[in-house]
Amino acid sequence: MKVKYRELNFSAHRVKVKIEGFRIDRLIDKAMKRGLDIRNIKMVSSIQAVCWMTPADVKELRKLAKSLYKITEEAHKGPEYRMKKFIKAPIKVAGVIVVLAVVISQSFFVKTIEVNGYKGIPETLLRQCLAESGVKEGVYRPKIDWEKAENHIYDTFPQITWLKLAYDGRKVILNVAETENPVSGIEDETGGLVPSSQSEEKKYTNIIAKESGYIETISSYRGMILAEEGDYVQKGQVLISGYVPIEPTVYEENWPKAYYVRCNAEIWAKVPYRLTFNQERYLRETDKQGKTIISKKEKTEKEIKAKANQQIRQWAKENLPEDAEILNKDLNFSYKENIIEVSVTIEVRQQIGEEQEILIGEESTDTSGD
Amino acid sequence: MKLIDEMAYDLDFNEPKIIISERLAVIENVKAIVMISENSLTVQCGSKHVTVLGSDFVIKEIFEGRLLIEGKIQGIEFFRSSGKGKD
Repeated sequence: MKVKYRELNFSAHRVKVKIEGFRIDRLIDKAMKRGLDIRNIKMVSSIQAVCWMTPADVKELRKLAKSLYKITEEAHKGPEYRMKKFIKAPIKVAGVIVVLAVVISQSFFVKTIEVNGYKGIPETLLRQCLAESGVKEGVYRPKIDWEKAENHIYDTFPQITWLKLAYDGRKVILNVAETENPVSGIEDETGGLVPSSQSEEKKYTNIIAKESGYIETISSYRGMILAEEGDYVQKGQVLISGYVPIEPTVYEENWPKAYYVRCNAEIWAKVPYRLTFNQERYLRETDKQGKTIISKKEKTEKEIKAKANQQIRQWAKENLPEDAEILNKDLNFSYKENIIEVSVTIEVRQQIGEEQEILIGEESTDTSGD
Repeated sequence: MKLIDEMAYDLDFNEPKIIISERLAVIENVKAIVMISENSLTVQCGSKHVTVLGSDFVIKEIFEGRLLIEGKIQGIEFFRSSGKGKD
């Protein structure tokens, strides 16, 4: 039997057949004359032979063999057969679909971020800046706003003159170029910096304490931490410095010694406040004619405390930020002639960080320090 | 051999044509399989019968009058179909 794509059919699905009976050569002769594709015929004994055929040819052979020979299929091979067998097993198909779905879905998530071209700015800061814009390991790539991320880097690091943010498969690549001398003037040993017109364009900041208090937590996203948890800091003290020295890992003459950043940090502190409030010593009453008069009846301690608490709340509303939290308060009363003086000591948990711009000057010509 | 003789030989489909080596034999113009055993294979090629003798025979392929045998080949014999004797 002539079939199209004979070799392909045989390779796709072939069957190992065992033929048992007398004069097997006659059956093979008939099969040959019929054009059946029989291969690898091996005589096991005078009444038994094995060979390989296509499934269609096995059917034809069975017809030729009639009841004179016993035809047994011993094994099946070939990709077509494997595929059919595989499709018949739904659990395997489901498994493959799940694996494929996982592999394909994984390709939409960022696996690694590569940062190149930086000199003065540490890689960690660039990565942190990317993370703030939503570009970090594990994020869904199509949801990344590339333009926003680029603009955020430009805003954060004004010394960057060019950058390219791109992705290759699961890898995000950030290439940056910095200005040749982004931190001119910072080598002045005296620390004195002469303001220049450049500083107006680039806003670098320190973070200072806007209140005196005990630092509870201090976490810096950009900038160098100068205070520790538990420290008592004075109002106006620099807590996070925007001037960050660099320790170069390779020798290069023009390598910058430091860089400036716009600090970003969260600093919580316990701030004590000492306040004094006054309140009337005697209660007010209404007489029979409807007039309000001051009676001779003194306020009870409960009433004094209630009034003091009201005054504290009013003061807090006017003077404390919204996220501040009063942790402790201590009230002391002193009775004067007609008034009661309430001395209040309260401990407030609040953020005390405040940005203060750094003025970057031109390089001082007087390097001797005189 | 003259060209015409060569062409006549090539176009003669009634005679066995055999390519043989120690481990492989290819017989063309096979008309029928007469006998197969583990140590010999006899086929009819038109006017002649051919017997390949040896051991461990495996018929790799039979297709369109072409038969390919693998195994240890020890000898080959030709017989006339009329049964008049060995060549």
